[in-house]
Amino acid sequence: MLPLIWTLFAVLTVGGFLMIAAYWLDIQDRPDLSARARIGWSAGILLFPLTIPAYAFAGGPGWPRFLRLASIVPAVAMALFLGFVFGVFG
Amino acid sequence: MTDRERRTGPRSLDVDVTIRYRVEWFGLRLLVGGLFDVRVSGLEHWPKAPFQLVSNHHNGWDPMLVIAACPLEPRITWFGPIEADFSRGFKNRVMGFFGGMIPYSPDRTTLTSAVRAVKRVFAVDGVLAIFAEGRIGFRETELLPFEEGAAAFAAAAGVPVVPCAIVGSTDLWFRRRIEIRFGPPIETHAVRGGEARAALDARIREAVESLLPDEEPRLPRRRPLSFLTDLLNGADDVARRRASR
Repeated sequence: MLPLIWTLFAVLTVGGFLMIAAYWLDIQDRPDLSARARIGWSAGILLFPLTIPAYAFAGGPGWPRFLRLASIVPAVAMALFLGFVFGVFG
Repeated sequence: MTDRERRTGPRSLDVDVTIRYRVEWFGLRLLVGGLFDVRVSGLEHWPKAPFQLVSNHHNGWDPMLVIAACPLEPRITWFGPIEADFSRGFKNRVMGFFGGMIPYSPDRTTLTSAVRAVKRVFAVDGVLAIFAEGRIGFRETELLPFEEGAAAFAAAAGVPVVPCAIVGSTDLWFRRRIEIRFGPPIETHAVRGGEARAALDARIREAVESLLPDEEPRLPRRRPLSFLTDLLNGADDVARRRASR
């Protein structure tokens, strides 16, 4: 089971980094955001497991369903990481 | 890769479908297919290699879109990444790693040396692709003036020209519909002299124009991941785009 979880973790980590990049770049490229909102969402990257899903579902980016679902990937990757750190899987 | 190749781009013109090219092609299919909704039409017009693809150009993604939309074989060699030094910058290093291009250096490349290089591609039954405008345009319905290379290369080698239009890559966003359209080939074996070459240039231009849409696309208000538009464009292209809007 552990190799499978490691594999899943590796895939989700790559996907998580891509989602973080997509989140950041999408915010910088949205003309409808005020400067204040842009700064707020940008600073929110520090809490990315929470802010990326919040942005996808409630931030008004107009992301399609696939991206909205993918927005939880960083959170799942982080949960698996913490699982390894605290020995949940072993 | 030698030091010279690192600086000036690869000199070996691989038209073979190597493992490295398979990896590139498959990776691009995944990436481009995941990000965009790419449709291709007119592939049945492709003659037997060697031939030359002549396309319009809207975006740094265009070569990847064409590679991903086309079959694995015959391999496409690209003419004209305008670079003086391929040892700097992530994009240049990636292009240098995968090869399949004839770099163009404004300081060093002449029409004669370029013709010599592309003839080597055709001599081994390769396919050469060229963005005839030489730089990025920002309108889907129009072409910029052509550079002299497109007609000159095909005429010098006597290979057919397949017109290609990339429709929809001016503004990109997640899952945007992009169409790669190929037209019927134009024969060039009887083209001799400057006048005939100018006529060929006009015919190629007309053929590409006939594949373009009649109207500029209406952009939706919400364009998810619209940063994709300028992700692979150079700083000068981004500045030109902003100035044109």
